[in-house]
Amino acid sequence: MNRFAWIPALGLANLRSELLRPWNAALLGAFMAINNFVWFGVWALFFGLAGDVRGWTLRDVTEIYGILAVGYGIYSAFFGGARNVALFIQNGGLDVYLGRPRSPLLGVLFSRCDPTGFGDIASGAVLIAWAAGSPAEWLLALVFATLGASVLVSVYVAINCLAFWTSARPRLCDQLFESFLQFAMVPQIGLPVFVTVLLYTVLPAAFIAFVPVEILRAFSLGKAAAVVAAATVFPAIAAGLFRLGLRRYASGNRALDVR
Amino acid sequence: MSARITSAGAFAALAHAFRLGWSETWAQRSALLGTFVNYAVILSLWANLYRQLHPQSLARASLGYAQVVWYLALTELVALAIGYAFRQIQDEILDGSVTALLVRPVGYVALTAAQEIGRTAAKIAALAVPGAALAYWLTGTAPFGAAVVPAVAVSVMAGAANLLAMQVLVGLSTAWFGTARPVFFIAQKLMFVLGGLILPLDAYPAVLVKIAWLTPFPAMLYAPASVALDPTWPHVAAMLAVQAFWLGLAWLAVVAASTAFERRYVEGGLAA
Repeated sequence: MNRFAWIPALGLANLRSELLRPWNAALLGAFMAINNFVWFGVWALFFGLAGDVRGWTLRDVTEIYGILAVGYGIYSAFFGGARNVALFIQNGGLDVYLGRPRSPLLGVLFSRCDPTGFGDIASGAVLIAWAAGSPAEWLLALVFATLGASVLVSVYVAINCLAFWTSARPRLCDQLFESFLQFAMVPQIGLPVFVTVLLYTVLPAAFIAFVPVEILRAFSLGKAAAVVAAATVFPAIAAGLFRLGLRRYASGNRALDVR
Repeated sequence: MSARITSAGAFAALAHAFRLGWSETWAQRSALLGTFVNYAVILSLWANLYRQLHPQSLARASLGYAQVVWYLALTELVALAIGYAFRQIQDEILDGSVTALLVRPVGYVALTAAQEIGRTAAKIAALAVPGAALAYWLTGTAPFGAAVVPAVAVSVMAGAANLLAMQVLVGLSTAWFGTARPVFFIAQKLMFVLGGLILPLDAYPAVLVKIAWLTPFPAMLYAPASVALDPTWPHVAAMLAVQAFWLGLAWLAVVAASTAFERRYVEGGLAA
């Protein structure tokens, strides 16, 4: 088995376990898709009143929401374990992954598959298709969504790593991530300068969907390079934080849980 | 299924469950902080969007910037105070721990709801003042006077109670569907749209307004928040009456669902 072959194997095993009840998985995915379409309805009502917000229209915001939904779907369908990092730090669950000869962070990330993610991916793709001007734009938006998923997972891991240094509980980490998603969900226009700076640095919500939609509106090589850079730099930062945090990690020994 | 106890005994048990939920919530300071961060982010982001609309856009629906921001402050207060209450019922049904809770002399649903009302009251108490301060900071004004505040507080709690009833029903649906999540997704988003979470119903197309008023969702969000749009006593009283009506129906629905759930459990339907 080559160095990374275990990753798709683990992903497939998780998927198979979720598909043991295929109708349940399909229902969850379908309801998540409906959920996203209803949220689109909220935006439609808002822009029905507003017309546009400083040049941003329903079409643009739909594209933002579609890219975010696909990115979020990729996270929850394939990297769902990101949300468990703080829990494992708190309850000693990391022991199981530290006892393995592979990267503990990747092991945690691929430890959970949520079938609702497929509903997010499908509905996001439909929303982008509605908003996109051409098949090429649709494809490019999906590429950006994949890059955005990388930023999303990194931020979730980084937030969960707070548990290494503070008494942050998993619930708080989830709430902080939900706040982060709120930033990613709306067009980031007219915000105070310091908030804008935050959204391009510490809380890189801008790179998930806002900057990609700006690129789709008017292509800019510099912005495209920034999105690609964000999708590689933030995972490295998250992995670095996790490694740094592991030095402080201590637990009752749960290595015997190794399966 | 439950053994009978006196009304005073049942009331004491429910009061204890309420206190438990209240103190539990205050003990989890970090979760309260997280809820407020969420609240502040949502309110600030949407206020920012509303501030950038053409003034005529809001005026067309007879709304102003300060009104919609305060409206949003109140709808978010109700929505975030309840959170994901259905999850407790769902998890207790799925892991079987509900069995032990069903043999208590006070009904499982009543105790769970009392505890959740305690949690909700604590969250509303914790969020209300900083939330109002944030809304004031964003708008520089308050749309209603101090005299209306007690009525708003009652209306917010009534909205939360209606929302809680919906979540209890969603949680109990686990007994039939094996999970409550899909039902919750739909119910939550219907509440967002038909309850007027982001935008007051006054700005909706007429057909949608008619549909919304046929559902309990406006009683959850629009009713308490619309005081920010019309703080006159006739309007406040009308909204409280609407909430009381739906609360009555919700209570009947919860009692019926709770009875059906216990019967299904006793007959062994869930054991399979």
